Amino acid sequence: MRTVPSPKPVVVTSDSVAFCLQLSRVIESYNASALSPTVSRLREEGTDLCRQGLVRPGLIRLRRAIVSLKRTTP
Amino acid sequence: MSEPTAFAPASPQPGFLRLRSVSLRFALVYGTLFICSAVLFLSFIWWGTVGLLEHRVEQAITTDSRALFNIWSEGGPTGLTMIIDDRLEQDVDDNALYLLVNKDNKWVAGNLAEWPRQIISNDHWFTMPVQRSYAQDMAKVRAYALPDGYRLLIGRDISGRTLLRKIVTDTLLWACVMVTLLAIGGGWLIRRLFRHVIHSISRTTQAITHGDMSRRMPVQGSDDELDEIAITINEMLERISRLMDGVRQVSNAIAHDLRTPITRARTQLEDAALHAKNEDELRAAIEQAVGNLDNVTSICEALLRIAQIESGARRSAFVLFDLIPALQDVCELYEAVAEDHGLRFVQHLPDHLPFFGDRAMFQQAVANLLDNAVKFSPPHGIITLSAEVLSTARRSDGTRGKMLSLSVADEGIGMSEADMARASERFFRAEQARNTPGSGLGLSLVQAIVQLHDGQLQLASNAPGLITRIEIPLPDEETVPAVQHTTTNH
Repeated sequence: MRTVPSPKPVVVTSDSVAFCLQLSRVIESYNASALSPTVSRLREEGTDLCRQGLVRPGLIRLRRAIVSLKRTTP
Repeated sequence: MSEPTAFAPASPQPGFLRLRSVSLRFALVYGTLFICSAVLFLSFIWWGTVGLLEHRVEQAITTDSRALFNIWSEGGPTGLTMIIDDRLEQDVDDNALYLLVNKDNKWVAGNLAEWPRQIISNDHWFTMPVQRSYAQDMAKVRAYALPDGYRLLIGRDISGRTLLRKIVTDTLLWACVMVTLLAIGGGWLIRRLFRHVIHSISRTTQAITHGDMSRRMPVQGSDDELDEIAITINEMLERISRLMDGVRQVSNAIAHDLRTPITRARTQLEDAALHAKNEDELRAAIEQAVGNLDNVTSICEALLRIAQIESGARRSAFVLFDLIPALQDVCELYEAVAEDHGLRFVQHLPDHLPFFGDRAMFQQAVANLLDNAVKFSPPHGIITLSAEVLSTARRSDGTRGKMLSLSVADEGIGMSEADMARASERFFRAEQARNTPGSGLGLSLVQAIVQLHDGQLQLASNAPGLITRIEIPLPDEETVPAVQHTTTNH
């Protein structure tokens, strides 16, 4: 295994408010009436946290909401 | 001429550490083994935790890559882009890293901003830094080549694992430090214990070397191996002391007992040379001197014979034979001698008595006992020779089995308790026996023969007189080879 001596780390683009909002839109694209209360709550909490600058916890909630949606939506 | 070599003292030189010290080497070996064992053990723990975590990351990336290759083969770049987006959307662990670039190295899909410049080869594992929103982390990645110049980078953020690895590594390093300290402490204790034992032996042996034979190893009373060594060494020293005393005593006795007949022979010859009036007187003096010198020769022969018997070399001549005819041969001779001295000779012997030993030598021992009995018996006394088999007697080695008990009893002058204790010593003669002819080697020879047969010689008072008893273990049927069976009487 090689360790790359990189002076400039590569930026992870998914750690951003923009990706947060993208995930929020993905959830919105599902039928709003079909969203369970848990998914709705996770989406709202995740979006709020991202807007407050807490990107990582926001992303985790939004991703949980998407995972839950994928499980329940055919 | 060369100077005599001066022996250096064997005592340990003062000083905390001596590289040539056995105890230091022992402690170093102990410490090294302890550290090696601990490092080996901790290495297993390290590979079992950190190694397992790294292996799991690599396994996850490899599995992921196979699935994405299948997607590529079915849906091309578009299908792969959708799946990458899908995986990033559902990455609850927030550690997945993907990057798909085209042949112009332009971004197509994924969550990395650009292709890392350092990663120019495919199918190799790389660890590189990535910039997260909250910190700079480390990631493990692997690049794969796709058709049409596309390249795919799959990775995992290993910051959590790196943290765990650091904790485990730090813990194990501290454990190594503690183990090293324990090894040093243990080695020091071992060295101290070892030095204590060695010094104790060294001090004792040095004292003995300087002539103090009374010194002994201290016994702690803890009944451990050290005490066992000390007791064994002390027993060895006791035996050496006894042997040295014996050698000294025998040397003195030889000097004394040989000097008397030699001096007597010299005096007789000198007297004859100066005062003999005729050839007959001269011849008589020479014969007397020859008799005295014969006595010296017989003493020397007896001593050599005892030494030969004590060496155990005669044991190879042992056979199984009937003891009774052998005893009867001796009795025949001594019946006549007893009769000459006006004594009565009584025998209590069984019909047969199988015995394993040296026939001629045993006859010699019995003859010596009878000879003593005849010498010290008063006129009209009774000499009794008895032999019997004790069927379940306890032998000297602790086992039980048949024993021969042979005794010669007389009604003579007997011996005091103190004389009985010393009777088998070479040249020992009891005070009452000073005026009786003899060299003081008869019972020594008997003792040597009895010991050669693993038996014991005992003396007891017959009030009046003396009972000399020989107890010898008799062979069990299964212990004597059949080829050694013989009942011939020589």
